[in-house]
Amino acid sequence: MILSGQLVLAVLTAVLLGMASSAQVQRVRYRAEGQGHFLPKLVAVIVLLNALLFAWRVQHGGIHTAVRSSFDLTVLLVTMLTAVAWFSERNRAVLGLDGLLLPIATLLQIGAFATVLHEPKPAEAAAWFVVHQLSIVVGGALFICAGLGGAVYLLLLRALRRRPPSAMLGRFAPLETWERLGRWCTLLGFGFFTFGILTGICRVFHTAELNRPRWLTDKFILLCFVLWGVYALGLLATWLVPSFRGRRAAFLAAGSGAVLVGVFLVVDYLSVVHR
Amino acid sequence: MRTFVIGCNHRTAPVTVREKLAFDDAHCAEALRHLGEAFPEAEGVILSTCNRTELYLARPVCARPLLPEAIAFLAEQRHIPLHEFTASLYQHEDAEAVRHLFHVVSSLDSMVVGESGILAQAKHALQIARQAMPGGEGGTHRLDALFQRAFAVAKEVHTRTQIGSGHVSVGSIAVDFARQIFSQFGDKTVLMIGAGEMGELTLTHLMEVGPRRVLVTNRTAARAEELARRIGAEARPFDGLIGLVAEADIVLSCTGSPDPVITRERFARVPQMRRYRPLLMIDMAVPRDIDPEVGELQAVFLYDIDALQQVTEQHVADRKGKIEQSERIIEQAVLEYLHWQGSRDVGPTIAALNEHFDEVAAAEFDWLDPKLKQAGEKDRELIRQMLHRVVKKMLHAPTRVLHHKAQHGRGQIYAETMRTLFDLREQELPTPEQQAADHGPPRDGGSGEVPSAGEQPARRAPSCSAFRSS
Repeated sequence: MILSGQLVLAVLTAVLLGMASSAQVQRVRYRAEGQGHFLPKLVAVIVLLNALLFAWRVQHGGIHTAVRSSFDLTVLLVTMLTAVAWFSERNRAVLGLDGLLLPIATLLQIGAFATVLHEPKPAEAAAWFVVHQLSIVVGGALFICAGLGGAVYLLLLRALRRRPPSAMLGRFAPLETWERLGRWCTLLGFGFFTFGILTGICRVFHTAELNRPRWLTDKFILLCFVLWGVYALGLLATWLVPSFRGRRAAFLAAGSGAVLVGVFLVVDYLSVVHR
Repeated sequence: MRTFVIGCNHRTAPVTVREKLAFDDAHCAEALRHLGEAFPEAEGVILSTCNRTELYLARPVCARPLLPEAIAFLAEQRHIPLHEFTASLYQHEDAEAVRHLFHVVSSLDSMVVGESGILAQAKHALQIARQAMPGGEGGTHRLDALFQRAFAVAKEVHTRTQIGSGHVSVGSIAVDFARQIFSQFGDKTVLMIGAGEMGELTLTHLMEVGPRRVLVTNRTAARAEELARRIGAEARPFDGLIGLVAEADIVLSCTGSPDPVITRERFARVPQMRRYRPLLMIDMAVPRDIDPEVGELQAVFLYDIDALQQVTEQHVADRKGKIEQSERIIEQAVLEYLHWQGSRDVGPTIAALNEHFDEVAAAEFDWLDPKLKQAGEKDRELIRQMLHRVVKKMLHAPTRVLHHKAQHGRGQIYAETMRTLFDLREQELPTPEQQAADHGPPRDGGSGEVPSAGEQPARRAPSCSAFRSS
């Protein structure tokens, strides 16, 4: 059950996120000036507020309850994404990443309100269950970053191939950076995601649900398996096929990232078994 | 104070005139020393660049040099007959001179609008003047305030309008492309095909990013070797061209070949040899050296001279679009500066006028006081107040007129008239250091030492006397 104070904090953070995303998109699109010092501070405040909200939820209901709640996990995911956005605000090496991260984080934070009234099932007091949930969220955050890296790569590629090719020059970090970001985030995200899936399978064994394969029909779980397979193939292709890089890898990262956001936003919140 | 500028620039004078009028640092310092000796009340700054030579002068209203004298001074310093350059000269006075300086330093008057070099050149010119003018740094305090304001205005124009954004030379654009594709250059190789001048110029720009290796290849090996020696690169035989391209990350081609030296067929294996790492190719040759179809291959970014030229033109057009906004900022700054300058011109006079009349009133009261035997302290206080009010009312109109005239650049003439009519004491103008102390921190991040127009130096004049305080 969410406390009214927590709800107010969540709404306030969502509003601030909306403002920050709008300002950031304007800045990337029109090279708007005058918000150079204001935006990083605003994003830092959002990170702190969201972290505070998650800590409050954990303190109120316990960590096991928090990691069973879609709302709380989304708050954690948004905290991580906005923290990356804050870092990219301060670092020109990933110039422009925040312009895409903040809108995604806003979307997730608003989407989380759809689940705010969902009562999580009674907490399962197993440490590996907490690890399972957190691994999936961290892996998801990294895949989203990889997806955004891929999206920016494709945008830049298109801009560089246009005539005259100057439209996006100077607004984003170099192409090479986005490729590297996509590659590393996918690799790390895959590690976390795999670990999350393995611990999830452990849960199935632990609770002897193998005999009641209801979890096999859960959309979220199935889609997670599919995504894991796609990322695994992608990584394998990057390793084995030299031409699978640049535009192709970016397509895969961006597409899979979009599916992942969709899974978090729609399928996870509608899932009956998983929560 | 009056301000003048005389000079010529790339629009008014051909290079044959500009080169005769140009000053190097040593000549500039010498000329300013002569100016100080010939006209002790005047201050001067000489701004001499490849596109302009300008002499900025500031002096009291009734002092010298007059404009013809300043022009003659310029001719004398450069040993040129007047008739050779007077037709190319422009001259601006007071508000126009201030406006001109703000335009110049903000680079609206430059050949390439928005370039930032002129700001550094103007700062250097002021520095030379500070050292060369008699009286040291204090010897240029009027022009110092004007130039500091101009620097602050230039900074504001560049920050608010981004007029300097986007490069406008082909070499710089090539570097922009490289920076948009590669994040680091310490592990990159640049290959130049050909040994032409234009290619060399662009290569010089590309070398600024610090690539690991620079290779040069040319059909005539001797020319490649000569160029490589000159710029510190490695010369390679032309026979292994495709291998060299596969080795490189940035290829710059500028040969005189009538046919493409890199065709799609020859190039086909290169992406695979490079394991599909990005390859930037800049073809500056006409006719083109690289088959346009090469640019369609994976991980290849090919730009010909037209593409670079298009970007250049776009940047120039962008900058021109920002001129109007810059003009508005400058116009506002000119008004503020004139207002402040006017207040500074008449402030000491107004203070002296107040002091003079207060002294007269105090003297009259001292004459009257022994005769007021029946009057109590309260009556005396009333008389003091009455005298003070009379003085205030009498001075109200002249003070208002002085302020008004000052705002229109004619303050000093009226101030001098006042001083003559009332035999007022001369008051020294505050130095920039005093201004900074009196008016708080400088504006615009410390670059401007000029107080804002709203602040009135008149208030800092010594207030009068025991009489007013009573």
